[in-house]
Amino acid sequence: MSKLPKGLLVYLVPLAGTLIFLNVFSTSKVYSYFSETKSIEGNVVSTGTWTNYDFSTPTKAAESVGMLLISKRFNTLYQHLVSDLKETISEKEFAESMKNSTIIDYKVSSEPKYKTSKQAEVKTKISYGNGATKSFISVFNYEGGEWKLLGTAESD
Amino acid sequence: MAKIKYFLLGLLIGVILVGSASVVKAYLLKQKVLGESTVTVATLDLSTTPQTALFNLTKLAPGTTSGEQIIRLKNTGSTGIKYRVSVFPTNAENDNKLFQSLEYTLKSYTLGENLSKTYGGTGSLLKDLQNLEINQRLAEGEEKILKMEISLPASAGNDIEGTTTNFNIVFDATQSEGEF
Repeated sequence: MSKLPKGLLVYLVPLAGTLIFLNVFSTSKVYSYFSETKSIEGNVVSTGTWTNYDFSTPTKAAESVGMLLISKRFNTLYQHLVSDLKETISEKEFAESMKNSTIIDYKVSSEPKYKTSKQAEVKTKISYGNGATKSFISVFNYEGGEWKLLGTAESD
Repeated sequence: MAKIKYFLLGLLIGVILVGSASVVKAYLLKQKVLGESTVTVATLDLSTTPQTALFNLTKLAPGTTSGEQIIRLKNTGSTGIKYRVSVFPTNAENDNKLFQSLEYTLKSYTLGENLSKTYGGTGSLLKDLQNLEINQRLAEGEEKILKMEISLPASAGNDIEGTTTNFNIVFDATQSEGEF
């Protein structure tokens, strides 16, 4: 097979390149059909609670609080706060304020100390994801047939 | 220098060849006016009923469902349409374990409300309901219904207890002969 003369290649190469370039762009078509998007917004699904958390005594209430904190069920925990506290913060705000919690362990470390017949303190030890451990006193009020969490303060 | 000239010459010939093939020459010998012509562009529109909150479920528990909820879709435009459906959590926070655990069943019905096709079912996760093209067309003014059901599988863990998710159901419509 004889080779093409070099002089001819000088013509053919740019010619072929031009034809390919123009061919590609002249045959490209853009289709744009009419379209519309509609949304059904505001759909909400919430789950109930199916684990029975025991708040029948201050100690059991403290243990239940621990389980809820570790499993990050802050919405459920909110239901077990005393009513005065719930009036100061919404469920959403409470869950939001707790969402960065890194509690990995929660132990009740004392017998309940009754301040009145309807208020008791329980000491707890909480371990965090970074390895730190702190002691707390949790206060529970008897309200609506169960011991509800009034608050928690760090102790020595 | 000579090579550059040859190169440019070749380029010019290429342009002339392609250009000459696409030029249309028209010699007008007579002209007749047919009067005013009108071209009206079709409109494409879709309405949904309800427009908000198809699902508003509280206290959903493992092994329970929402029951079938009815969506009415109407072609309110002037051209035939086809459509697809997707579900998106409203934001990253709502893309939680509950949203990822929910399952769906979606049924399309014909005009006479006879079951046409069932999508999803046990094991079909709501989070995977993306760009599902429904195999039915809506002619101009036509209305059809979908029935959608959401369920929480019995295997759902305790870690979704007491949680909430918010999501949107999105319908994309396009011309019957079009492409999404």
